[in-house]
Parts: sequence; C-alpha cells; structure tokens
Amino acid sequence: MKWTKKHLLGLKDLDRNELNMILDTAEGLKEVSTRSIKKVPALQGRTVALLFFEPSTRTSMSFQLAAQRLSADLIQFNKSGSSLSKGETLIDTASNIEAMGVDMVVVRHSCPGVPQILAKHLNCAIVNAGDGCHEHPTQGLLDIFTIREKLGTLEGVKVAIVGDIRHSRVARSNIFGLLKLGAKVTVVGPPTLIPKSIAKMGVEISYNLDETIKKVDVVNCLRIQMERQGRSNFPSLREYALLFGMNRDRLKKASKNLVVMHPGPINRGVEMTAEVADSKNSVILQQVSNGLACRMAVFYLLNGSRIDV
Amino acid sequence: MSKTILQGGRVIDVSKAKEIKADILLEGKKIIKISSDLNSEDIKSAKIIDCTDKIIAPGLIDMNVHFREPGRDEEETIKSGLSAALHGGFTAVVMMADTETPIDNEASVEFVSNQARRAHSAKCYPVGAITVGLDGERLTEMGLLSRAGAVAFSDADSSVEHSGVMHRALEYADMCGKPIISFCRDASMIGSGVMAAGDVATELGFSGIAPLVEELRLYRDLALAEATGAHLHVAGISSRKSVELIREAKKNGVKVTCDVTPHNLFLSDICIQDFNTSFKVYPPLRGKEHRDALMQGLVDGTIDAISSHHNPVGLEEKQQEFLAAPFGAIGLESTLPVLLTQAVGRGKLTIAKLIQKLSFNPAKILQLDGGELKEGSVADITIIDTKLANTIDTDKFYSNSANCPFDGYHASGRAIAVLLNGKYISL
Repeated sequence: MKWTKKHLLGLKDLDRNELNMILDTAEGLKEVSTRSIKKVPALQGRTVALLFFEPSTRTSMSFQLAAQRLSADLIQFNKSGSSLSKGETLIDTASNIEAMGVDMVVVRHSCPGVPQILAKHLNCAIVNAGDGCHEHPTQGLLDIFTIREKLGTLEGVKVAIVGDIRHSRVARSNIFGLLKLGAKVTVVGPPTLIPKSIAKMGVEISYNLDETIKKVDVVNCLRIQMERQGRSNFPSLREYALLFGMNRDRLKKASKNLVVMHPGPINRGVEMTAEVADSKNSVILQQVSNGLACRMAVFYLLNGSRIDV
Repeated sequence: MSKTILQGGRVIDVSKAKEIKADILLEGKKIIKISSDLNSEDIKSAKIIDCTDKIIAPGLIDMNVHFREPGRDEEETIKSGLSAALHGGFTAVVMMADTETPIDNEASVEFVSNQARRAHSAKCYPVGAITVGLDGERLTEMGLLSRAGAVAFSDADSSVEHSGVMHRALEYADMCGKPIISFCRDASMIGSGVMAAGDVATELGFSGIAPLVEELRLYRDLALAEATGAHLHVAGISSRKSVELIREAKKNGVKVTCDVTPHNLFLSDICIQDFNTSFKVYPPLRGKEHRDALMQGLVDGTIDAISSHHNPVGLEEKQQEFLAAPFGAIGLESTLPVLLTQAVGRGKLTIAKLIQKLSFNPAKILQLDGGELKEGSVADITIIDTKLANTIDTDKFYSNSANCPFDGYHASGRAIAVLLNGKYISL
C-alpha cells in the first residue's frame, strides 16, 4: 500500500488501512529513539515549520524532536511577538512562512478548521497539532498506538474517555480513530460536559464512572482545562474529582489489567490521584514516548507522498 | 404624459394568490388599467413592452436589510445597497436601525430617507430603534421617529433583554400604529455558540446554538404581544418549535407576523463542514426537520414573509478564522433566483404565493404603499422570467460586499426588469 494523503488534518479523514499504516510505521521508527545516535536522514533537506497560535510545551517539543530525528530543518513561530499583533491575518502569516520555502507546516490554533483553511491556501503539507475543540490527530494516534502496544489489538477493546468531552479535541480524534479500528468507546462525565449529539459519532454516554470502570479495558482521563470551562459547567473541582476522578477505589473495581491513560499535563488530585498516575496500570509516560514515534511516522509518510519536481 | 403597456404577461393578483393573463397600461407614475382587452386607442398611443410568458409582479419588498451607512460605508452604503436591491428585483427595502450610529432619532431617520432619495434607486424605508443606542433600556422618541418616516421599531439583531422595557415598547409603538420587529435571541443562552447545536457542531468542536435560544425569547415576546394587543413581527425564525408557537399564537388571535430567510429555508448546518465563514449566519443554519417545518409554515401561512436579512460583512472580516469571523450573509441579489428555483421550481410554492411573501405581505405588515397591482396605484413592478438560467456570482454583485452563502448557485429564474415609479429599468 502506498501513502496518498497530502495532509494530516484529522483522523476523521483516514480509513482503517491508513491508520494502521501510520501505527506500523511508528512501530518501526520507535527504535530510532533507542539508538545512541538518534537520527535518520529521511527528511534531510526538508524544512518543517511549527506554527503555534496557542501555547503548548509538550506537543511542540515532541514535534520538534520528531522533525529533528528525521534530520529536517526546523523553524518555529509562536503567536506572541509575531506580526499577528500588527494586524496580519492568519493566511498572510502562513503564506509568508511558506514563501521561505517550507515543506511542511505543523499548526496549532484555538479555532476549529484552521488547518483546513491553511490546506486550502498553501501548497505545503499541513499537520494539525490541535485545532480548537475539533481534532488533535497525533494525540489520537499516540493514544491508539499505546493501546495497541499494550493489548496487542484494538478489535473489541472497550475504552472509556472521561472528562470534558464537549471541549476536547483529544476525545474527538480518539473516537474517530478507535471506532474505525474496531474498539468500543464510552464517554463519561457530567451532562454539562457531554453534548448528547456525541452519540451520533457512535459512542455510548455514561454519567457514572463507578459503573463504567467495571466494564472497560482502558480508561483515558482527559485534562480538565479550567480556561475552557466558561461559567460553571460543573460546581467545583472537588466534586469533579469525587465523581469522575480515577482513584484507588475505582482502580480496585476495574479489571486488574486496566490501562490508565492521560494526555497530560495531569492535574494530580483532579483527573486522577497520584497513586493511580504512578501505578503499574498507568501508561502515561509510554504515551509521551509513543507520541514522538507517531509524529515521526506522520512526517515520514507525508514526506513520501510529496511529488518531487 | 407617456403611456406604456406591459403586454401579454402573467399578472399576479396577490390578494387572490393567483395569476391572470392581462395587459397593464401605465401612464406617468401610475397604473391606469389592468385588462385583457385594452382598447385600440390605448394601444395606439402607448409604447409596448412585450412581456409574453413573463411574470408581472407588484414590486418586491425586502422587509429586513442592514446597510452600513453611516459608519462602515466600504461594506454597504445606502446607495450600493439599494442598487443591489434593484438588481435583485426589489423596488423597496426596509432598513434596520443598527448602523454604527443607530437610527434612534429623527435626524437619522431623515438622513436615511435623504440618502435614499439621492440614490435615485429602489425605495428605502427606515426602521427606528426601540431603545436609544440600541442599549435595551431607554425608549426612543417613537412618535417623532414615526412622523419622520420610521415604518416600524426594532433593535435589529439585539433582542431587548429587559422584559419590562419590551412591554413598554410594545405598548408605546402600538400607540404610534407601528409594529415592533423582534429578533428573538436570549443572550444568556447563546454562550460561545457559532453554529446550530447538533451533531455537526459537536463533531467540528464548535459550541452550538440551540433552538431554545430563539424559542425562549419567542415565548416571552408572544406573551407580551398578547397582553398588550400590540403588533409583534418576529424576524428570521429558524426552528420547528418557533413555527408551532407562532401558528398557535395566531390561532389564539395574537397580533403576530413573522418572516424567514432563504438561507434558513434551504441551507443546512452541514455546509459548515468546510469551515466556510459565508455560512456563519444568525440565526444559524439548521437540520432538515427545522427546514421542513419552515417550508410548511410558509405554505400554510404561519410565516408571512421571506426576507434576506441582507447583512454585509467585509472580506477581511469574513476571511478570519471561523470563531473570529462575524455572523451575517447578504441576499438581495440571490433571494429571488434561489426562491424561484428552490420553492417554485420544486413545486413547494406557487409563484403567486411566493409574490405574496415577497411583496403583498411585507407591505401589509408595515403599511407600505405597493404590494399589489391596482388601477390607480404607483407603478412599482417587478418583471420576472421564471425559466432564465443564471448563476449567483458575487463578482457581479452591485453590493459592496460578497458574503453570500449562495455564491456559485445555479438558479433558474430571476428578475429581468423593474418599473420604479413607472420608469422601466432593464436588469
């Protein structure tokens, strides 16, 4: 099979074979990071631009490292101190950066659809590093990769995604990818954080983590982003932690081999207790390592799809 | 005075909602005779315009448009807006009060009328604001505004939040014999919504605007209209429940009328999947169940009028990210072709019924001249070719703006000429 997509805008756009192809490629590339010389020449002479219109530390670092390990040249643009503050539009900024001879643009933005708009206006390949509450495909890929690595398959695997589903791009990308690969997904949280229409995407809705935790193989606890909470979507963090946080009691109710995930950074004591985060069930640090491999795989495949002049 | 005959057309008799074969004799600004056998005397002395197979309709009236003069002239002046109206087949428009300096005093009302007169184009009837500066608190001098020419009162796209103020506004406007036009929107329910609530919004990660945002405010305004006996006109409804509420209220004798936009009738929230900001409109584009109910409301008479809510937004504003781009769509130059194709062409409305919604009813609701072809009345007439294939192309628009969600739409039928005060203008 040959990779044909020019961009990675979201997991919604990928079919099962394409998803597996990225996962398989990531598996191969994961080894690179275990070498003493952690570099291969796959993207030598290519330039990757990271356009982050929203603050990010770990995703940005992960993309940087992924590009560097493939020997790409790298430039970075963050919103603060840019020409955007001078009234330049998004498309102007992106076009200017492309005019410097960039091959791939990795973009993060607080508004859904920005990667799609850039894909329409620019010639280079676009990688979505998170667009508002819409998609975060590489996070979805690394979560799925981690589950597959741990359980050997995704077929029939039961996954609970807990937290602010309404505002979560991680949830959406996970749902698109997991369902295509045969997993079953339940979203868990208070009704104010779960739009009822999410059921149309093919997931179950639960408001009771104690019940759901007994039936699943994987629990993915989303970060509660206080900055997205607007006015009182739930009464207090204390109540949230009691109703929807992972703690020792809930871990006991669950299957012994429950896989506990979190996209980070963890609010210890909110989404999960320290005890759970550091338990043998937790794969949170593996997720981070796998993120690097998945992002390398995405660069690698998109680069291969380029038509050289 | 020179005489003209519109010969052989299908003349719309709006009061009976049917078309008749007749010739129309015009002299100067007036319609002199509508008859299927004009005498040879008349024919001999008149200039004949062949209208075979064409629809002869009373001049169309768009009862809800936003122009941007004074303040943001680059988006739409009164002149450019009226020119767009004329080329879309409208001989009159009703202009909302939400200019940068709102139409909330006599001088502003007169300014609009004067600019319209200087434009030598379609007619422009100003709506006065309900509250000073659209602040939702202090009532405008509605009596004086009426005298200056305001045909109704409305705070345009901002709904009066304070129920007590709305109550007094209805009472007071009723004394002036003018309707209150309410755009039903409960601000506390919108949150950060940018499109219709539902599975498309959820998938795209946008906050949704639930039908309740509109319906809650509609409940209130209908109750106030019932209590005061005043005339409430609800602008731009978008939900199934809103149609039901208004149908019920009319049955109970509440003095309520309403309108709907072509984009709310024919476009769905699925259009937003490509993040094209031309589809970012308020009220938002909704799913099929709502659009079907709106069409049913038009058919059974619950919905009285169709209006574009022509809302010009500059390109650099609309070119922003979806969240940042303002709401709004223009429609003066797409409304008629779209309706002829989607409503008449698909057998949902007869042409006569469509003309009722675009001319007769708006005139009746706002007590404007026109809306009907009658002997002795001013000759504002729209001539329509219902078969003429045409493509909506914003590059060819007379409007200063281009934010039309129907850009690129292949239509069948459009206005080919208008008569304005008896003057024939070929489009």
